[in-house]
Amino acid sequence: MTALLELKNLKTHFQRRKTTIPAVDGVDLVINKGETVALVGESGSGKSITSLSIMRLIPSPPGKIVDGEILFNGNDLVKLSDNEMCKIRGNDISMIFQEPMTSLNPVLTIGEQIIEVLMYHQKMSKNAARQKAVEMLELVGFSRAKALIDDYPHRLSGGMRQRVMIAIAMSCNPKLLIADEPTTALDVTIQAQILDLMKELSKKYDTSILLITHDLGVVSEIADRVVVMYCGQVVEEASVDDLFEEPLHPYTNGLMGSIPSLDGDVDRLYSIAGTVPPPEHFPVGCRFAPRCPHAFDRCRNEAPALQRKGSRSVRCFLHDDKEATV
Amino acid sequence: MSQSNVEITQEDLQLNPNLKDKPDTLTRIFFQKFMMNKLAVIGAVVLFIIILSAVFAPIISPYSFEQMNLIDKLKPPSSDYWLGTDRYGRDIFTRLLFGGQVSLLVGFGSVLGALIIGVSVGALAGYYGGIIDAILMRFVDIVISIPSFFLLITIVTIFDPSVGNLILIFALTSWTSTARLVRGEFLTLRSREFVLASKTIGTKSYKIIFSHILPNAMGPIIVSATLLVGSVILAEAALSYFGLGISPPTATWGNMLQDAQNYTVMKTAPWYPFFPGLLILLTVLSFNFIGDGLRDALDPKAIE
Repeated sequence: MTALLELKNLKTHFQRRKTTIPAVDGVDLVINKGETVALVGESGSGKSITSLSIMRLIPSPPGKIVDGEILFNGNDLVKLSDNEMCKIRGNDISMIFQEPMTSLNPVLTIGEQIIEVLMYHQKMSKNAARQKAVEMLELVGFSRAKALIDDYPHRLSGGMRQRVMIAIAMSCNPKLLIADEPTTALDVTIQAQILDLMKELSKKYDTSILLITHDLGVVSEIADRVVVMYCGQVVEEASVDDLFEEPLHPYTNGLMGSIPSLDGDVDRLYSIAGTVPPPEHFPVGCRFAPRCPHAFDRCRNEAPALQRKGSRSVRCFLHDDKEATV
Repeated sequence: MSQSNVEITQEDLQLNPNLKDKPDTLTRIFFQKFMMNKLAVIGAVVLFIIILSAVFAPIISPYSFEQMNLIDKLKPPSSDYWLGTDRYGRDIFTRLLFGGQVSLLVGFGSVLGALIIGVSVGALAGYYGGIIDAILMRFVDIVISIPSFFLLITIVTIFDPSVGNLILIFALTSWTSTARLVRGEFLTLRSREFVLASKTIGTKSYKIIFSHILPNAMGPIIVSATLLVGSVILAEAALSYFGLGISPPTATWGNMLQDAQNYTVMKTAPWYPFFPGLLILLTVLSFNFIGDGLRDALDPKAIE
């Protein structure tokens, strides 16, 4: 497998008056061709900012990619001009969002919104683009695509709109699809349909997916590999099977414990104590230390590094070779 | 198999007979809502008649607008002169029609100009925000703080008040409200998710501004433009009334009124000032009613 996208020590910081907020603080991430990688973490852990950094769509100012590389097929996206970036967005990397209800332009027909992408990136004629748009709508499961193409978005339900978003995103056969919580706003049966659709399309076109979510159920359903983020850093990275079998980082452990389970006599659902610290008050040592049930002195004074453990990696002193005796 | 004798008709197959095959288009919904506002419909009809008669003035009117007939001066309305004659024996009806051409041309022309400037400035300021917004909006503040009517009078006395010049001057003094309105719309729309979504498919900024955000802001823009046409017509009439507008013999409603400002005329021929005044009133009122109707019809939150 070759790497399609590689983030190296990506740092995206926000400037608020005099303080710097390290929303993404040294993220390393690899996505191989055809692979589905899930990015999980609580709200505020920097998942969405990571994905927007890849698209180079950080609101700037105040946001800025201050360090690191985003290698896409070997090209560093950070160094590209805005014009070159426009050619990549939608064509090589596209994105779908959490809120299908508001992600479509209410005053343009569905057809116009798909046709626009095709005409811009694939330089198609209007008729050819329309033809292709109908095909794309059929591909995402609309049986009456021909009639639908001239409809306005308000005529569609949330699940249907998310399908349209996927049709738009996939219309130029992108190599990478970034899905920012694509199923959060949908009900469970529709969630499953959308996930199946994404899985099917990624197989068919060999598209890699970066799935951002905080729903571990979704992760187990679709992902090949999982990257867990906390406070702008990667704390654990493993294959889905490994991670669900044996989470190494206490934070991942906590996340797993917070999933409601159908069997077992649990009265109260487990939750990780405390909240994510605001970025301007990150602790000196391990950022998870104040909430960690296993934290010891070293955790509070020294920041752990991401260490490889066979096929996976983890950022925790509990799995540090030096602490092996603990 | 026991059910095979039950005949299934076409109606049974239809899920819901009330469900329409073709959706209501936005234009149709808009039209239905507009028709419910009676004043706006009346305004539209009146305005339509006024515009038509101004456009077809040379065909409708029996005389030329500068044809004098000194024997028939200040004649009351009759079958020869439907609305009477003025001090030089010119047919008032004819002059009103031709005056309408000028008034409407100035009204629409300058609002078109004001829209082009106002929408561009407002869109840039609202979309980019930050320093660009600050600079453009302070410029707008400066333009607003200039008393426009006195500026108008000054400019008109310096330059020759032709139709073209008037349009230019009105456009340059009345674009600020549009700019503020458009900026406000853009400020809220630019942070909407569909804008981010269209950025992720590589759409260029100018395309996002003009083909994605602008159509969403069209409602308020149309309403304010309609109201602006009325106020420009009024301002043009006022300017002509002061003798600073388009000069005779070209007829405008304003300079007809001014021509009638004379004690003898007022006393002996009250119809002379009455009809141009009435037309100004009707036109501006129509524009305002239509503006209100459009506001209701274009507002998606208005109760149906």
